[in-house]
Amino acid sequence: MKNAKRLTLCGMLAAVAVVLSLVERMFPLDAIVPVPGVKLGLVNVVTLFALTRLSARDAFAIVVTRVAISSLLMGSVSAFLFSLFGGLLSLIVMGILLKAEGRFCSLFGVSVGGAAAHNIGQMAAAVIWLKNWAVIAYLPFLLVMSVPLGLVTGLTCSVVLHHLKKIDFSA
Amino acid sequence: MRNKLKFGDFIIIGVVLAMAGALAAALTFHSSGDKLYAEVWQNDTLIERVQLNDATDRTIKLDGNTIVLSGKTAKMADADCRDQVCVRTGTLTHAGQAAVCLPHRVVLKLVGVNDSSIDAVVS
Repeated sequence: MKNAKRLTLCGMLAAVAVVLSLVERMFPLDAIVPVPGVKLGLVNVVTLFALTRLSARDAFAIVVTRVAISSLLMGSVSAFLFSLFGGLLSLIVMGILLKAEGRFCSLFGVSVGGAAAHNIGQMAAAVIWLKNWAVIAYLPFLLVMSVPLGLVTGLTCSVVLHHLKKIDFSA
Repeated sequence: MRNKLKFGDFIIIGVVLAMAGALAAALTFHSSGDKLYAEVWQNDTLIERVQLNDATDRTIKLDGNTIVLSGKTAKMADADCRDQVCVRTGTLTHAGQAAVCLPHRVVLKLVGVNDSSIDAVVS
């Protein structure tokens, strides 16, 4: 793929990710599940898509851009750290799991792993930021929640990829 | 089509759930942890904060409620209100538990304060 085209695609995906994280805030999921930090994880769709269709390097750039912009728009320094840790850890885990995708597992498994990794990364950031291990008490709930939410994201991503296969990106 | 769950997916889901379970189990074991405080609140103000240890034996008398702290436990022993909800809550043993008396606006709760030695949780 040409450089300019790749750059454009990365920028578009980063923009989509920012919009998705804005949309995500409109679903008051923590009202239904009373655990702070529960999110739909829609942005994971973008990360997963970038990992499958572009490269790990591009996905990394997209995650960092998305985290920076969305915390400038609506977050605080702590929120920036939390999503950065979560986003990067989930990127790493999904990158590893994607190597096994097809033979060992499907996009669902990759997505669940990514969602769980996102929560673990976020918690790690929270522990470092608050210097208090007590917050880790939320992690079991978040991990359990990451299974259904990860499945939803995986479904979304596989549908999106299925349709986008018809478009030739590499031209 | 890619939307078929494969064998490995169930392994991943299982691992995630197992981590959640293990962590939850580890936390319940440790949450009674290092330092346990009993806090007594009335009308949204903290009126008493007592560190609980095995030797604690104390009775706090409030206007209408009697709170007994004994060892690492606390309970609302007596209340002169009609509903007796706080008394029936029983004995509190873990951080995070609370007994609430709405008529007198009294809250008895156990608070755990973790210092760095809780590192043992992750090891």
